[in-house]
Amino acid sequence: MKRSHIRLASILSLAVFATVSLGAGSAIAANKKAVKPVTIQFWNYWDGGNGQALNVLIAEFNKKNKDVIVKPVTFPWGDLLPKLQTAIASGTTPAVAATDIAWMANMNQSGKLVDLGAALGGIKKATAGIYPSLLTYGTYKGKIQSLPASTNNLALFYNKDLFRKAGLNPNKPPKTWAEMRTDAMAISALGNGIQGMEIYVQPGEGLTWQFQPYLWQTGAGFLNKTNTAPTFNSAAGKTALQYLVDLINVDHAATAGQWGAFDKGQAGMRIDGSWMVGGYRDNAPFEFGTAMLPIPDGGVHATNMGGEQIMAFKGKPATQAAAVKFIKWFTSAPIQARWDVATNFMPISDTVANSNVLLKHIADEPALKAFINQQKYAYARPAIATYPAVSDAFSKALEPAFYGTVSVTDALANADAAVRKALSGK
Amino acid sequence: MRNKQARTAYLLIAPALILFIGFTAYPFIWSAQISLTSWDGLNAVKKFVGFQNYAHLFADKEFKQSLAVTAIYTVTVTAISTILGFLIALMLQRRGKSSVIYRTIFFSPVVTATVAAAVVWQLLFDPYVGVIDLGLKAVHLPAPNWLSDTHWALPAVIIVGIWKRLGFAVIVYAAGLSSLPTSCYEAADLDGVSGWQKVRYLTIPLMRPVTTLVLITGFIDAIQVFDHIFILTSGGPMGSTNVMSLMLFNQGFKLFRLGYASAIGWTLFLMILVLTMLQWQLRRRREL
Repeated sequence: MKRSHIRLASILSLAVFATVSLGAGSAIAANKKAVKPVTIQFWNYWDGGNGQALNVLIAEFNKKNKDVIVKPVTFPWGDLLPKLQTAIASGTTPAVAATDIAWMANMNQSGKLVDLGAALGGIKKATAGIYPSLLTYGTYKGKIQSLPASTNNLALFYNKDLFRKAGLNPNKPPKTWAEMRTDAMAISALGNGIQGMEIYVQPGEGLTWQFQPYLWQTGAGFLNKTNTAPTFNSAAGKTALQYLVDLINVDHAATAGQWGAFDKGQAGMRIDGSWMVGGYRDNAPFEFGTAMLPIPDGGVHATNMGGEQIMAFKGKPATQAAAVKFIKWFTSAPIQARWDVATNFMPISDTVANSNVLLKHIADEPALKAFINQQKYAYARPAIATYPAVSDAFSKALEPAFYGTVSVTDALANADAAVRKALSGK
Repeated sequence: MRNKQARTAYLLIAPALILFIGFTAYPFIWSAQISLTSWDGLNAVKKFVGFQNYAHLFADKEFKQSLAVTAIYTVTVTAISTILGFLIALMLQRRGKSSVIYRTIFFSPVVTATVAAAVVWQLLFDPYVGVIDLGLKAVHLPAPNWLSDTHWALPAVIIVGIWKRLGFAVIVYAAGLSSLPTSCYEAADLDGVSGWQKVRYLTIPLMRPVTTLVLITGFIDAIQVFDHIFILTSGGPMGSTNVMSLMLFNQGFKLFRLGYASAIGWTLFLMILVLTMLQWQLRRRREL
C-alpha cells in the first residue's frame, strides 16, 4: 500500500471515528436531555395498606414514564391541612396533593390550583364518565380544579359472633331502625359492658358525618338546596336525634364515650366506611358482616359520601405538566379499578365499577356489596367554605344531647342557631 | 481594636440571630398581623378586621370554658408536680449512690416522646382492657370510663401531665439540694433541731430560688399543653379537656380560622407574659 493511501485511509478512518464518536456523543447528550426526568412531590394522607397500594402504583408510573418521577409524601390526616396551609402561604406547594373532599371548598379559593379542565383538553374530556356528584367538590367558578381520587360511603358493620351469642341470626342484619334497636338491646343484654350499637359522639366532623345519614333518611336534610340555612331542626330531625339519644339514655344499648369498642369486639354494630373492610377481614377478633344502613319506617335509603380529590398546584410549566400527566394517569379507569381493589374504596365512574378487575374483587369480598349497593344513595356534604365551621358548630350543639344533659329539642334548636351563625361567617 | 472585636462578635452571633429572626421574630410579628384579619390560611385575600377577633374571643363561650380548663390543668399539674418533685428529691437525697437509678427512672418520662406515651396511657385508661380499670375492679372500686366521662377526663389528662412533668422537678430539686451548704445543717444538729424543722426552716427557704424556677418553667409548660390531650381526648367529652392550645389548633387547622387562632395565640402569649412577670415580682419582693 502506498504511503499516500495509508495516510488517506488513516485520515478517513479518523474522520469516521470522529464523526461516529461525535454523533454518538451528541445522541447520548440529546437522549440524556430528553429523558432528564422532572421530580414532583405528591402529598397525601394515605397510610397503612392504602399507602402501600399507592406506592406500588406510583412505582409502576415512574417505571413507565421516564420523564417524570413522582415522590409520594404521606402525612397523618390531621397534619396534611396545616402543611398545605403553610405551603400555600409560603409559596412552597407540592406539585400534586390529594385531600379530603371536606376541605375542597377552601382549597378552591386559594388561587393556587391548576385548571385541570383546560389542562386535560376540556372539561368534558377531563371528567368523562365520572359521577357528577363527585365533581361537585372540584368545580369552582366553572372550572375543574380537582378530580375525584377515591370515594366511599358509610354502611353498617356488625359482629356476627355477638349476634349469635345474643340469639340473633348472624345472617340477618337489621334493615330498619326498629330492628336495629331490638338487635342492639338484645346484644347489650349480654352484659360485661358490651354495647349493642357504637355511636360516634365526639364533636367534630366525625359526629356530623355519622349523623347526617339519619337526617337524610328521615327527610329532614341538613342544609337547604342553596346551602344558606339549616333544615334539620324539624320534626323529622327530632325523630332522627331522639332515636340515637334513646339508644344511649333510655335503652342503654349504647354508651356516650370514646370510639373503638366495636374494634375490640365490645359492640354489636357500628356505622363505618368501606375502607375498614380489609382491616376487619385481616385483624378483627370476630366474624363480621356488613349491610346497607337501616332506614326508619317510611324513610329512604341514604348514606354519606366521603373520599379524596386530587389536584395540581400552579408552578413551573414542566412541573405542572408532569403533575397533570400523573393526575390523568391516576384517575384513569384501569388504575382506579386497581386502586379500589387494593383499598376497598368505591368506584368513581361506571367504567371503573363495571371493570372486570373490580367485579372479580367484589365477588371475592362480599362485605363490599353493601357499600356498592349504597353508592347510588350517597349524599354529598355541602361544598361550601363555611362547612368546617358549620359541622363543628352542629356537632358541639348535639354532643350534650347524647350525654343526656340537654333535651333533643333544645340541642337541635341550639344547633340551628349555631349553624346559622357559622353560615354567616361570624 | 474595639471595632474589630465588635465585628467578630457580630459575626459570631449572626447565625443565631438569623435563625432567631427567621424562625421566631418574623412568625411572631406575622401572627400578630394575621390576628387582625379574617383568613382561612388558603385564600389569597386576607380581610382586615381590626380587633374583631379579640372582641369575639372574649364573648366566646368555648374560649371561656377552655380558659377555665387551662387554669385548672395548669395550677394542678404545676402545684402537684412541684410538691411531689420536692418530696421525692428529699427522699432520694438520703439514698446515696442508688439515687442515680431512681433519678433516671423519674426522669425517663421527660425524655419519652409525649405522643408515644399518650398512646400507652390511652391503653392504660381503656375501660375494657386497661390495667387501671382492671386493677380498680379487682379491689371492688368503681372503675370510671376515664376518657369519656365528663368528670374523669380532666383528672385523667392531669395525671398524665404530672407524670410527664414530675421528673424535671425531681432532677432540678435534687441538684439544688446537693448544693446546699452543709454548715447550716451541722449547726442545726448541734442545736438539736428535728428533721422536720430542718426541712421547714432551712431546706424550704434555701430552696426558694429553685422552687421559683420549677414553678415558672412548670407553669409555662403546663399552660401550653397540647400533645397528650390531643391524643387522649381531643378536648372532649363536652369540652371538659379543651385547653387553649387545642382550641387554637382546632380553630386554625380544622375550622380554617387562622385569624381567630392567631388571636388565641396572642392572648395565650400575653397571659403567660403577665403571669410570669407577676411570679418574678413576687419572688423579688420576698427577697427584699
